[in-house]
Amino acid sequence: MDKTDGKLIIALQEGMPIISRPYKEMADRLGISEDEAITRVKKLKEAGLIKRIDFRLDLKRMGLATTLVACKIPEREIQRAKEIILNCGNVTHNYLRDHDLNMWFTLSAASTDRLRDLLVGLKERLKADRMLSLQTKNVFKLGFRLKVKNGWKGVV
Amino acid sequence: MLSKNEKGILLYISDHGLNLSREPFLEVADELGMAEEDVIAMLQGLRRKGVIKDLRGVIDPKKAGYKENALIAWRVPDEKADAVKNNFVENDLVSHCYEREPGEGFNYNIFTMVHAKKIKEIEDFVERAAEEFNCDYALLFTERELKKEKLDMGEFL
Repeated sequence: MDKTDGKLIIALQEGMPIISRPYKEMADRLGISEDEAITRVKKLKEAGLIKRIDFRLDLKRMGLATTLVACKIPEREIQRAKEIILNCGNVTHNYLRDHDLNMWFTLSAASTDRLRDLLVGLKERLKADRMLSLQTKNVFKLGFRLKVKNGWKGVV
Repeated sequence: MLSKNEKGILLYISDHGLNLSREPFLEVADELGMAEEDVIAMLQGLRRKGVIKDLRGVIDPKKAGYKENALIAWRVPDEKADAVKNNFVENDLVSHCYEREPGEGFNYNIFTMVHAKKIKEIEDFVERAAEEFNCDYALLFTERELKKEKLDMGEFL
């Protein structure tokens, strides 16, 4: 990675315009050609540093209800619970955490009613001793970003 | 609510990511049998409405060397909530900051996800914030990541 890659990563995380040639706009700002920008982003993607180029959506505005579920799953049921969650399209993130409430996952549904139904079903299927739904009230910050206080040097 | 075409565009880009080519929206338009200018106009409209927050490259924290992460739940009194929230939003370690309904027996209202290269950075951040704002917290380090995916928009659109 070099200085240009660093600047490109910063530009990518700052956001791109929704226009016909978004990579050209970015390339112009960095003083490189459009094709070079595209080739470099492809390499960053192959290296896995950039996962994809995508929109960030406001799920609340889309009418979705989201929550963070904390549950206490008995040790012997964890593997089974993990499989159930893996196959649940309403869950994007699931973690084991160092706490009495040992399994934490995010849950999204098309409506609050649907969310409630899902929770009731999951509590049963996961054999959770305890399950809390910490429903999202406000999202203040969303998404990992690299620190760029030191400009591109902090990135590469 | 979203129109059929808007849903189609969002779903397609959500499934495939935006292509790395000169005219990525033209490819989306061709695939969906629409005109490029209509696709762009609809997406710009969704952005104005706030449905789309932005279009950006998604960075993998682990690949970038940020291997440690933790969820921290904070109990912040209402009168302090704004100051605490603003501080967290400005902090580089904090990737996510939410206000949530407290749970029974888990009485916390502000939640942050933090990513760092070293565990010490996370511990320092938590200690400093707890002292500065004088509030209780639960620090939940990740023991294992069992699932991490993007939302399958097909479930909702």
